[in-house]
Amino acid sequence: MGSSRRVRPVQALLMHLLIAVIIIWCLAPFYWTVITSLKQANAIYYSPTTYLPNPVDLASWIKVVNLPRFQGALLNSTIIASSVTVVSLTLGSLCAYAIARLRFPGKNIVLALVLAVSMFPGIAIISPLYLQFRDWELINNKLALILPGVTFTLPVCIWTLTAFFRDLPRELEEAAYVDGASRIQTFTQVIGPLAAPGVFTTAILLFIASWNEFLFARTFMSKVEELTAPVAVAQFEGADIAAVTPWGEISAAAIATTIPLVILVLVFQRRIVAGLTAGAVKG
Amino acid sequence: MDGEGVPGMTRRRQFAWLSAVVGGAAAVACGGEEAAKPAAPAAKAEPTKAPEPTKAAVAPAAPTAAPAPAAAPVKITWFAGRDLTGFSVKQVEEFNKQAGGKITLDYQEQGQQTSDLRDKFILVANAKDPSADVVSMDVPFVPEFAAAGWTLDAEKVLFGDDRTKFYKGTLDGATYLGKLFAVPWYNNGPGLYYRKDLVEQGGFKGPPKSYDELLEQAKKLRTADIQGFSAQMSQTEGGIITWFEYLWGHGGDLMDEKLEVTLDKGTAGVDSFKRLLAFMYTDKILPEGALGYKTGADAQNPFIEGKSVFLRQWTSGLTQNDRDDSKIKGKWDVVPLPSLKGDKAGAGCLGTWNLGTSKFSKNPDQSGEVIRWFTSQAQQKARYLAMGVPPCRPAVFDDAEVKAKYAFADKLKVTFESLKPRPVTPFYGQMSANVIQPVFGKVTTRAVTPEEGIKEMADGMRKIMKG
Amino acid sequence: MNAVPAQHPSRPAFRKLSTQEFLEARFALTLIVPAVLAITLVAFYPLAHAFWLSLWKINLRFANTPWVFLGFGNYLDTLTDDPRWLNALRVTGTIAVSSLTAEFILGMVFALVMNRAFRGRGLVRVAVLIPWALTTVVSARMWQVIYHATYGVFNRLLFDLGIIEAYKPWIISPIFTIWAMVWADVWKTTPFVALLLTAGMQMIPGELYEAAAIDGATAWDRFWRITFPLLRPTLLVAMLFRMIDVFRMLDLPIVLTGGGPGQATETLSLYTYRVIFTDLKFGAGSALAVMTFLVILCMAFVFIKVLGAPVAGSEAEDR
Repeated sequence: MGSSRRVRPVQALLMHLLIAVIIIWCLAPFYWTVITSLKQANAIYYSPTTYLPNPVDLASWIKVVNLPRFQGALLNSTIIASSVTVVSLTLGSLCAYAIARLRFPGKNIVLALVLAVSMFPGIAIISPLYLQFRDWELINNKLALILPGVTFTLPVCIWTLTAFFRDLPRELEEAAYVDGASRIQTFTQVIGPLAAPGVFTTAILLFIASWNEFLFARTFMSKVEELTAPVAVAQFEGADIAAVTPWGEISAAAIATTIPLVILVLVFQRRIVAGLTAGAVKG
Repeated sequence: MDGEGVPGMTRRRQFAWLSAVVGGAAAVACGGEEAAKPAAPAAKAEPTKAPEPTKAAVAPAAPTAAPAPAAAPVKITWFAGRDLTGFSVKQVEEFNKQAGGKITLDYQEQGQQTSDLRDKFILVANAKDPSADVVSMDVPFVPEFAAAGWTLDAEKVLFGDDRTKFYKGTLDGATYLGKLFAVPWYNNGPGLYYRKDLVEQGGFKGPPKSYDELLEQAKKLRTADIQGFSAQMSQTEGGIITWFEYLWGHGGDLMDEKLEVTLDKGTAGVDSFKRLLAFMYTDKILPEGALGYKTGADAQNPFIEGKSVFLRQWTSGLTQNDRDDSKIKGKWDVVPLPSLKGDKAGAGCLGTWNLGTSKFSKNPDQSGEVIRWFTSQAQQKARYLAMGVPPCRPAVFDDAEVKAKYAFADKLKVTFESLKPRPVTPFYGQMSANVIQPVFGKVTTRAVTPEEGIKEMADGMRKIMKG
Repeated sequence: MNAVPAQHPSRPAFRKLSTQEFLEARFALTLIVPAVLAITLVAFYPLAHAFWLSLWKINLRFANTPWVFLGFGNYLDTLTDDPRWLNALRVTGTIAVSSLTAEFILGMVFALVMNRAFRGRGLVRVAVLIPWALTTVVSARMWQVIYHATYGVFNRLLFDLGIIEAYKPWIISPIFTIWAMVWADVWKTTPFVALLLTAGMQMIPGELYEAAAIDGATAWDRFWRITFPLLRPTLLVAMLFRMIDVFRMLDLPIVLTGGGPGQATETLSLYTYRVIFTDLKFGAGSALAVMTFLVILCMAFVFIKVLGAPVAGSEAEDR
């Protein structure tokens, strides 16, 4: 809303209070998990629980970080999420460019298809996919996650990129045509560089989305070495064979899985917000 | 075999290559089996020098190594449940050392709860995925997996004289339609753990023998800081077993021998639920937090911390009471579960774990070797000595070393003769997951009354039995 | 996006030659084929396949059980005699209504705050993005630790504040569990809603507010007369997608509560998943899955066609 109006001190105070509440609301659970991961193994099982880790103990972290299975899971997730991002971007940018810039019959059908996929519950197709992948011996193969990963990230990819492409000034392309550039040249040499920031933003969104995928990962990967990070966290049973549910290690594993995402958020917060809203909100 | 997840062609080529190697190894292993047989009597003759004959059991595969220089060890993956003792890992190391490069055993725990392992194996077996070779099986898995055709029979893994060396109950639990589908690996039954010091201080003559005595003592001995009783009450297989034991104690059962559902006949079902609910909500000897004890170890934790007077726990947990950070070293003891009237030991649930072979294993013979090694007298004894996980072979209890270490060995030997199995039907797993556990959860959290719960449970079980 | 002026049919470079149009269309289709193919092969074909499976009785639990053709038998069974499905429907509906209500009220408050210029906007943006970026499974694990019956900080906090007299097993209670789960869901998704609403608010021209201020409208009036109506399209889109998300919800209950106690938090997706992969009833499970999809389709129809949510592709784009 307009910011030019006079702000009364009470309002200002209320405003700051609200801001503080929002920040605390968003970070408190995260903070608590960090605290839990830093507690001594026994201290976690104190009842009542203590608000601070005293003393700070990195044992849970050391155990989790050194756990080969967990390292493997992080690596698997990285490989899969990166592959999905690259493939989805390639397919998606071509499609998005056509939608944003070119005229062709059936555009609305394509858009409707994309919309329909965005509303697909993964559960609706998991039984046939499972049977299919089983027959193709793709169970425990990363392709089993990359294929559906690409399909399910395509809608977001296409929408976001379409929005970015549309925002590019049209005159440049037309100038290129006039200069005698072919369509493909125009796309790769004129549009490509211009769209790079948008593509990059989209890449971040896609990476986060596929990093977080759970349903297919849980179903198509059964080998411990092939698990992805979210599934590993869901099924985390502790580094050594402790006697009780190892909440400290679970917390450490949960935070460790999140670190890549938090870094992305910290570095690219503006882009992420722009990307999120570009695809979802139409003016 | 393909730990790096080699995609597509490479992987298939690898399989072909492997199966050729494996085929050769299997042929040798079959010959090796004959060689292993004479070795078994040797084990009998000198039970104390146990490790040697077992080495012999693995050794026959050895000759393959020399002629086939590049022969990579056959990798056997073991789908295991959660081992609370940590001994399996050590035992696997020992096995790999003894197997001398012929077999590499890869031990993979599949999650915290029994159902995690079951869910996981179901996925793998359905995918006809060879990534599991040996699979650990709770008693109810045996008929379930066998009926589904997911496991190989174990007729050739355990044969002849060797069969007489096991508790009959454990073998029955590993048999489906007259065929052995797994080999009993370790035994488990419940006990009532209690604090000797506290019971004595309270002026009681001994630990409780009946449910009422348990309630009376727990009520008297609990303090603001120490809970009276601890038991796994979560909506899990372990939780429903806690209840089964009270159900049996009240003279009821889930099904009769003809597999007709009898749960809603008589009042045992309702009575047993009411007793547990009273423990938790009226008399408050069992904290509501027990609803969150997902494993037996979660239930045992307060006991080890010195914060519970009584505990219903598997005997496999006994040695945990003396672990380094335990606050109750020397202050505890264990007796059979209490019963309704206190005139006899309460019914305990048979909690044997078995080892079987996945039907989709590419190396069934080597898997058999692994199973034979782990279920041998020597290894069951080693496991018992190291971690207190009781054996399926009664002879282990008579072993001098064992007797010297465990004063209660004789007591356990007898207890294990009378453990009660859960219904032996391939439908049990489904009944447990879809009906018994959820309804148990509803009743224990008082979302429904015991009467409603028993009716819902019995109806649901009948529906599943109809298929 | 609206900054790009609509194409004029009279634009000479494209209008003159019909071959030009043909070439453009051909080029466009070439660009589109890979994406459409991926969508068709991995989403629509399996959906058709799922429908085919749903017509059969398929039980993979027993070796060599033949498939039995049932027609719509699986659907009929579910509709007429499946209390568990009704329960799942009720659970999902409860979550949808309560979660969405809370999210949109809170999200609106967040957005109103975030839409103002103030120092430290970056900090707020990061704070808000973190719950959004977190893996649901991870957030479920976090809340599991927080809600723990004996060691949980939630109990400690409420106890210290004098709100409860004794610790409660929040996620093992027929009354509280579903609300505990809704709370965890609201925590994670409110930021997303807030971001979308903020974006929507920024598109509202400031002059409107200034004019209203001159007319002497109160802040309350300005919200209801200007912000809310102009935000309606954004709200509808966001609500539609959040609604769909609830019907897809599986990871939160599977990790946080396991669907329990009893089946108090078993959502439609979780129930379907269990029928397929725990009971191995691929036919009946596929029928449930198809039904879930149909429910979503109906909701989308209502939102887009009846309420007029302007989702990309819901209207002719390039007029």
